[in-house]
Amino acid sequence: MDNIKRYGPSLNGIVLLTAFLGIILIGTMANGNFLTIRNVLSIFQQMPEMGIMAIGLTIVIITGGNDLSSGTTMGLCAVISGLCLTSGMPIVPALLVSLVAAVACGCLNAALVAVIGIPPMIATLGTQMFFYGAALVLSKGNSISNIPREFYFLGQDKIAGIPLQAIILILLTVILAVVLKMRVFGKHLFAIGNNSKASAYSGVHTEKVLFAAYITCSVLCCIAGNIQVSRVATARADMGYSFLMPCISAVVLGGTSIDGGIGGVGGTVIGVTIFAMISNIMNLAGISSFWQQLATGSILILVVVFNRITENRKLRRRKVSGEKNK
Amino acid sequence: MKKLLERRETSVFFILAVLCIGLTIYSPAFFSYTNLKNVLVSNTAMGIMAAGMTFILITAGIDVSVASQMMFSATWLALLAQTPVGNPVTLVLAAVLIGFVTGAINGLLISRFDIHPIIITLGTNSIYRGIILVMTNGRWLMNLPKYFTAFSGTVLGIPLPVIYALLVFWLSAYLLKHTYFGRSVYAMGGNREAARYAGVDLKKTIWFTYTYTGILCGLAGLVLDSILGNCQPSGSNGWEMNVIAAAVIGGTNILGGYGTIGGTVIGVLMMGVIENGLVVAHVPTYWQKLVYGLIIIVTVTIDVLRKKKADSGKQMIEID
Repeated sequence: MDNIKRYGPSLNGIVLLTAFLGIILIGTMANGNFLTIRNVLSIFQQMPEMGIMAIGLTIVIITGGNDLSSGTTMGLCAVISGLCLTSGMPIVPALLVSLVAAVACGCLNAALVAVIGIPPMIATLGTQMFFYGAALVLSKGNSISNIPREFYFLGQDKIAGIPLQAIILILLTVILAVVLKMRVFGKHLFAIGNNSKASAYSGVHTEKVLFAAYITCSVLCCIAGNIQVSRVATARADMGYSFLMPCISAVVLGGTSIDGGIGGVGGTVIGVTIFAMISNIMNLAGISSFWQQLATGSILILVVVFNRITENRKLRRRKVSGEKNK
Repeated sequence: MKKLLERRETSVFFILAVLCIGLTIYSPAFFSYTNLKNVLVSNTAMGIMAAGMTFILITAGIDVSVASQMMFSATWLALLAQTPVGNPVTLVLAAVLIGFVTGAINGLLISRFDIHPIIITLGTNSIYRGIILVMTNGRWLMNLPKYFTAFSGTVLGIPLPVIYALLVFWLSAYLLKHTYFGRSVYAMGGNREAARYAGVDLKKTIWFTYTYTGILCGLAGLVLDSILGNCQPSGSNGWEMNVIAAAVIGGTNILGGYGTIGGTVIGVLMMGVIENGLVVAHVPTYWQKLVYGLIIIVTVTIDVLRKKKADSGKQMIEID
């Protein structure tokens, strides 16, 4: 079991890196504009929203859970901060209000999963609809425009030529990667994902850790939502709704096991970047977005199946070569 | 009798009945023939898919590609109807065949490679949807021929789609209760390992459930097209969540091992009545999702708490 964990991610890492470089190669060959600074920056302007949400989702998926409500949490937070901003509230309090809403969303998810013990997939399916409904009710089904200009900095400003949201994404990724690898909290997340009962018996406060995981995920969704509000200067309830499936795909593509216990945020960011590059290449080539959907799905299945085949082969070899006394 | 009262389906049924009575008192228009007919007909496609989803959920699987599979079949059928070979017989055959293919691909990938079904169906979800969008370029297919829309006619005041749905429910319930396949589905969901040791072919059972669901999705596509009279390849997005929700409200355990077709039918009706009731009660439609979400959270919470209480006196020994 130990060996799988040691080799699994690295093998997936090789596949991921090959795919990443392959796509850059294809993009450069297909279109001269792909590797220009302007184009790369435009990718980094659009990608961070999905990236931030996906790294939050990674944390929850590592615990063996799943947060189907992450997309609608993003929409709800976007609508709340949109409403606050248009009602004349200054930026910092508006952001705080949406943050509080995000923490509440995370607490609700965690309470259903950790305290009551509902399977995460179904608890968050319920909260997904609930948050979406709440966002629709708050915005009365309309999109909220005339966001004040001062708020545009979050999604449209650049520092030294790099979009601000890309810097936020990188910072968050580094922080979470450090937490996952080097902090006790990170170890606890993996422990719960591997075996929640065993980790509870060995002294992990599973409830507390799960609360932290789900709240982290919701807060990251809230950040992503606010960035998008600032970038497109509107807030709508269905903002993150279409992000959920690509995000889960990116997490899996990045080598995080959907059953929990294995994974990391670095791979997720590469996964999101791969998807962003594919759609960028297709846009440059003038291919309709419908092909993108087809490509995203095919890549997901190919990578997962490939991983599984190599993993199985390795398992079989190990079975033949040893462990007879087991 | 006591057992019947303890079952989840019964309590949901009572809530549904109270809801219907309340709505009728609030607005007698709810209980009119046309309104009830609308509620039933507009939920037939969802009901047919939910029957298949029940099988999958009982095996502890999940299929988030059902809406795409349905639209995949619906689009091909609409295209087929424009060709000279289009006639009622070929339509039904094509619906079954297309559904078989999409479902079998899901089933093969999941059973052959033992990958979590949500990943595979997430992928095939984009693939099926992508194929029909590329094919039609996202355009609506309008003006389906008369013989196509005739599938949703009325016989003796009963809409045909409702009859199809009832047939599907009957067949599914029969399969689940009285066949080897159905019992394997329960056995597998209850305890995978135990089922394997008892001689259940897990791979075959998984393949069967997803293929069966695929076929039902194919038929749902036929029904949906004939009801609407046109086909919108990008439509019915997000229906997969409603289908899962209907099965869950009806008492199917998402962790596997428990669920009945009767419960799913009640779940579908519940969702339909709430949707319609909000319109009848002049509540803005955007409240609908909020109410669905609340119902799922509350019913499942009650379910889990009740199970915990029932299990608290038992001891379980895990043998690995």
